[in-house]
Amino acid sequence: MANRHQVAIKILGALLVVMLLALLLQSATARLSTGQDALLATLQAQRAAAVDPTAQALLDAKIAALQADAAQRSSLNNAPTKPADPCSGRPTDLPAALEAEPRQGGFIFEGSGPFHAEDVLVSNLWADWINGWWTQAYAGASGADPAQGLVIVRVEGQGETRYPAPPGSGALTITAAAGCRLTLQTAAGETLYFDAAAGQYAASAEQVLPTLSPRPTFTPTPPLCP
Amino acid sequence: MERIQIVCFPRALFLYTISMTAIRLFLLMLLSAALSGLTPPPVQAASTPAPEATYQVYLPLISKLPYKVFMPIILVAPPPPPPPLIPPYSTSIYLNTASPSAAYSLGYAAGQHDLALAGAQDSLIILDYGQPWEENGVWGVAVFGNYDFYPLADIAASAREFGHGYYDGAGADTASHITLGIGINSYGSYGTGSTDPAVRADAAYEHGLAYAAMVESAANWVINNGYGSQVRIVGAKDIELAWNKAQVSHAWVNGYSSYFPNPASYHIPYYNFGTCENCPTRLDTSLVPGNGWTMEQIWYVNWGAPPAWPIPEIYVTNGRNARQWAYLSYYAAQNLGGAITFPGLMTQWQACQQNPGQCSTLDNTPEQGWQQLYDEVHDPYYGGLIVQETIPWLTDIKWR
Repeated sequence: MANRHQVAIKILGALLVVMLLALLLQSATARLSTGQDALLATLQAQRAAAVDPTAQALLDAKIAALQADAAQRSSLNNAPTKPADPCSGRPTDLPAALEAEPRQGGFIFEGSGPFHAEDVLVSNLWADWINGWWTQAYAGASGADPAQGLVIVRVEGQGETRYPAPPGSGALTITAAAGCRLTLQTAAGETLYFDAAAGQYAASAEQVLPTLSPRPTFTPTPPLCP
Repeated sequence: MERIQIVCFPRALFLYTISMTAIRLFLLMLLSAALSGLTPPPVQAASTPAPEATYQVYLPLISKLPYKVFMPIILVAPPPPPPPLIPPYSTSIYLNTASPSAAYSLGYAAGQHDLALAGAQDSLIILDYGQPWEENGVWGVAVFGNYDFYPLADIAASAREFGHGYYDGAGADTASHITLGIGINSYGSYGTGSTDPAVRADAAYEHGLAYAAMVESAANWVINNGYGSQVRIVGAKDIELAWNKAQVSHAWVNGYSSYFPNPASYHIPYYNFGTCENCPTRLDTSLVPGNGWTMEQIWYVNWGAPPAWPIPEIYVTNGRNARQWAYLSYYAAQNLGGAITFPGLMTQWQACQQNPGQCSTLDNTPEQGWQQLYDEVHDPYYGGLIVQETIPWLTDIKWR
């Protein structure tokens, strides 16, 4: 009887071990499965169901890209040693011109800015230094209401402020700049003036406006390496 | 809440002695269940009314020496489907410089971020440098910060150092991986100064061709320097309808695609982190896409071109962007041979935090954006045509 008891306990123990191993195996498999694998499976299912040759060829190309990605991930194991000191890996043999940031202001450029087109439709921009701060002024219109012109002043590291033009102006375009005084043209061809340092529209090119309060001293993020 | 019901039988029915052979058979059954995925086979309990047809029945073994075995029947309701797993978001960046050492530092920080997270990360990071440009016959980018012109070779140097920095920063985490998109937008004249779409299109085609070559060179550099197990470089383009006519943006896409002679067997993808302004939605199918674009033209730059993959901007807090993109996929499923598969999406929550109060209706958190798109592709309106169970990448953009 005791012998049978021991056998039963051994069997139960073995069962427990097998179950734990199965759990571990399942967990490891889950870790290896990535979102890209799921995408690949989705596309392969689509490919199997596709009947149009053009659609089939397109899906073949997408699948090939995912498979190339998977192959790259799994085959490249010639990785160099990772440095403990990040500064030892930082590039040092690069053209000096790339490291300098000689920002020359006072220009007008046909630029988009980082705005979602449903938010703002930019016509062009002006940029310059104002009191030591790199400042950009974007002229354009509201994406939601293209009849609403506006100027957006973005101060790097400080955020942005929006200045709506008089209602019905349509999209604004910067046509000239004298110092921080911008000359704007409305969609209807009218002329407006905006002072980027004062943060307000001006009645004329000469009207004197108070400059906004100085911003706090710019404190850049400490560089990773000295 | 998991519901458990224990059905108690009269004691006389529970207590009985069985032989060791019976025990072994039972253990074998459990062992078989364990090896087949740890899911015990369902057992029909004839005497037990099943309130739901899908209940599973487990027969736990409770033994009492000497070999008296109790076998209560425990009915476990099937668990509800797990909530969708929202992936951790990565941080994409508007670059205001093409400085390689600055890019290395940013990449290093991204690697450190993934190192600090549990497990292996798989994410998409897009570096958005600015807008396509040309000067003196050299293709390049007008970079956001000062809109200075940088040749494509300089952009490649910056992006590959981001990848290098990521590899170093990830340190002991050798399993995490980023797909690194070298990004520009679709705005402007491509350096021509012209407003004529035909003139712009000619330049855009050449720019796309040169851009694909640049992306490939950066991708190969990463591989040849041993960072390829954790970094893959691809193209990225923010194509917004208002920024150019379809003719111009198509030309860029065609230029990029044509760099790969046989894209069905080899190409480097580009990810379009763009918009679908004023596109129709299931709530208003009468809307017409902006700037004269057709739905098929939008589909082409996002999916129809072989290297194209969409990373839609899901910014609007009322879910409209998610509805626009889901409807585009629905349109493709009905008219263009199949639905679009979204590998990920982009939000701009961090950029909004950098500019408080300036994007009040465009500041989805990454999780909100992901949930909106996930819910939308599962909406019954689409009849199951665009269902996608996994949207693996979630990236949120900010300013450097």
